[in-house]
Amino acid sequence: MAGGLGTLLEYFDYASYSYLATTIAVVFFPSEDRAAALLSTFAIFALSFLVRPIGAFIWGSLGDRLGRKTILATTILIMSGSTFLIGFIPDYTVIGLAAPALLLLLRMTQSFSASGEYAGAGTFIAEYAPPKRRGLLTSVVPMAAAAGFLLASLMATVFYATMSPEFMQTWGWRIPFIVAGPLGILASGCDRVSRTRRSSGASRRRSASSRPGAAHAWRPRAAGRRSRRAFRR
Amino acid sequence: MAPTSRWAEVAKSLPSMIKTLLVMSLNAGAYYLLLSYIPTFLIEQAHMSEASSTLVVTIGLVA
Repeated sequence: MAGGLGTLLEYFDYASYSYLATTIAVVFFPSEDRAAALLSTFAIFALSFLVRPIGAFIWGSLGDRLGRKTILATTILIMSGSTFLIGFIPDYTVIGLAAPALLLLLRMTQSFSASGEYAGAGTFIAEYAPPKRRGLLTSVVPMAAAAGFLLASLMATVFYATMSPEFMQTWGWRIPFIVAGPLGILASGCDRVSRTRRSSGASRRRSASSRPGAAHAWRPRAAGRRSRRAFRR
Repeated sequence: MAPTSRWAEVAKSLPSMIKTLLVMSLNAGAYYLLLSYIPTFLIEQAHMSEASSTLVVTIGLVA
């Protein structure tokens, strides 16, 4: 649930930015040259993708060491936090060039954590799903990505159809980004609830395998021990 | 399996791995480019309204 919601949130923000690009261009860049403003808007969009491979590598490695659930919750919180803050950046007319600079910084932070979230969610579901339903449950991740796109396009259609261009430029475009904040808390809350349930079950059973990630952490060491014994013989 | 033979197996399947990666990159690039740029293209080039352009994408996504 947390993995699916996190992915939905990631793609909802991704698509919202691109579907509202014409409005964002007016808000964050000088209005004299519309083409240059649009190009700059998409340049920020593209630049934020540069940090994705780095983010995926770092968060993936941290997930192996600190546990998939912790990293998933952290990435969801950073991702939704930075998306939420995008909704509060003042316009170009208020703070000048600081507005696109802040937008770029927050988009890069969002992208950095989102890359870890996507990979982490897939791996997390694959690791925790029962073997017989692994394929089905892992498909939640791409399904959530498509749902995020659809939700964003639906929202943009409703907003553009019902709101005036003036309102869209002042507050309308901010709404999808601000919505990401509570949704992120909800997604990381799902993770905490499942963790509490799991830990209460673990206290009754007291088995090593119920500890998240314990089984995966144990296997290589045990394999190492076995191979050392075989080597001594 | 010894590490060297594992690497040899990877090296053997390297050309097909690269081909698969290229096809995947092309597919992902086209998919994301189309999905994210289409509304802007429709507004700027086809002079459609914002609402109609995003509605086209919504219908496309549902279909």
